[in-house]
Amino acid sequence: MSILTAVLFVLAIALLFAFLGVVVLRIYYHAKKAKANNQDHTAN
Amino acid sequence: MEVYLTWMVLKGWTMINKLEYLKSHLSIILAGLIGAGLVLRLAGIAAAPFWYDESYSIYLTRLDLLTMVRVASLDYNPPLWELVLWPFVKILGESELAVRLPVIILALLSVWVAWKITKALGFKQSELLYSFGLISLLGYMFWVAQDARTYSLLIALYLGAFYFAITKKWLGLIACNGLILYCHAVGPFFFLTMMVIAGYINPESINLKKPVLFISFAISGLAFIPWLPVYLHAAGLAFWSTPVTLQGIIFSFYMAFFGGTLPENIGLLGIALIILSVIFACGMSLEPFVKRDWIRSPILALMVFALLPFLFMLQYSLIDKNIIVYRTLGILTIPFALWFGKALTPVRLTKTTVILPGLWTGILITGLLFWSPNTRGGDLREVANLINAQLQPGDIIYHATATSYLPFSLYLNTVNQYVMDTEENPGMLQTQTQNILGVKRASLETLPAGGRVFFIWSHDNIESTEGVKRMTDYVKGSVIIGGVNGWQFSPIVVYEKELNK
Repeated sequence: MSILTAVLFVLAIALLFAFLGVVVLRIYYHAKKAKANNQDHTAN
Repeated sequence: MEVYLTWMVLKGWTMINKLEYLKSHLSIILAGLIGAGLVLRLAGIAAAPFWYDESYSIYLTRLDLLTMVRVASLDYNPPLWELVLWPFVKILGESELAVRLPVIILALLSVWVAWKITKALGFKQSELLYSFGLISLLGYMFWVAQDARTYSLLIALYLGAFYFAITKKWLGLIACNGLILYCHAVGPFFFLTMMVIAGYINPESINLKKPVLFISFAISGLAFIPWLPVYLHAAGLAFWSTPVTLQGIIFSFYMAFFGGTLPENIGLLGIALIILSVIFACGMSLEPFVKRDWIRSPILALMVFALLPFLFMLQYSLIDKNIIVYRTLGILTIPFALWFGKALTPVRLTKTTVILPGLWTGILITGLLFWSPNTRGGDLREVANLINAQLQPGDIIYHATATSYLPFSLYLNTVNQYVMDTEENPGMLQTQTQNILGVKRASLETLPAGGRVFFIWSHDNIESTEGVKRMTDYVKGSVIIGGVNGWQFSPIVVYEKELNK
């Protein structure tokens, strides 16, 4: 296997992990937002 | 044993019957079960010594990143696991705890993702209890949570892909599917299953104007292109495998559920229980068809989630090489537990409907009684310490193959270790890889004869004929001083011999 292929492999994995990271952060952000909204409703 | 069996079934039955009165406490029981499952996964994580497969990953992570990837391309499986392990080893070292830390994190994460799946599919409390009883307490779940290999990663990614598929989070699905392909040679079967599930749950995504499903799977597939030539080359290589037999499949399923935690007689009951559960769950999964409400049915999605990769692997095994082993089926243990929970939880508890959950309860408790984390790698550490205690200058450790060299070298306090210099059969660690990993190879005759030789011989059954012949000659006149046994690897025998004799 050439160095270039190995580099491409690492980059592909890094990209997939980045996708996963974005989704997890979005889920976390939405959950946090929903919680804050719920608390607002309770306060009202 | 028969008395115990009867006691166990009655005990399980009584416990389940009591649940009728404990319905208001179901959430407490559930929390207790999950808590116990998490603790049992963590308990004794460093107790077992490394075995060959774990030590192979450790040796790979000693290399720099790009060399590691290139060396891994000589093997059958893509090296995503080693890529995840690499920073842990570089930062925390090679102790059992450091090396197994990522797998335990992934195992705990899998339980959380399984929980998210049940919430997304609207599991009832009693269904949660059934599923998480199995997920928390099945013997193989503890096993895989402490085994520093790719399987914990693959389980977490497969569960993650399912969660993203049922919640329409396409980016997450792309990521998990792409990573699944990089985990293991059987990845494509899980990839294809996820395509079926995503299409079934989101039929609107199979739209020619906006083909979200195909685009997302195409992106995951494109990300695999750097490894595709290596993958196709490895698929064509000769590989050690046993023929596909019904007995072999049943045994693999049994191990994928109980991980060798049950005594023999109870093990037979475990096998019967798996078969019965699958039959009943298949029957119950037909319900959506009877009700003519089979679109986006959770029970059908879970059935596909648990069964389809197995059917793909079976098909492949019948055509080419047998890939159905406990490890590949163990990826499906949590999907099976979720499916069983959805399909087998009785609507009403009667003397008949309680039999199956009662038996599961009894057998899970039995598995717990016989589970011991330190038996996983056999007595390798003790045998290595026995040799260490006797070692004198000039003594040589001589291994038949790298199968024993890699794990023993992590515990033996000597650099005088060698592997016999024969060309090994496919399926064994090849000479080229051994050289890159720094495994010392030599013929015994070329080594300086001074003290004693400790021969370590892993009887792999696939060793070269020449290797077996040479080793048989070498160990003549030696004394067996120990052995290492485990159900997942071939027996290792240790011999001692005075070279001058």
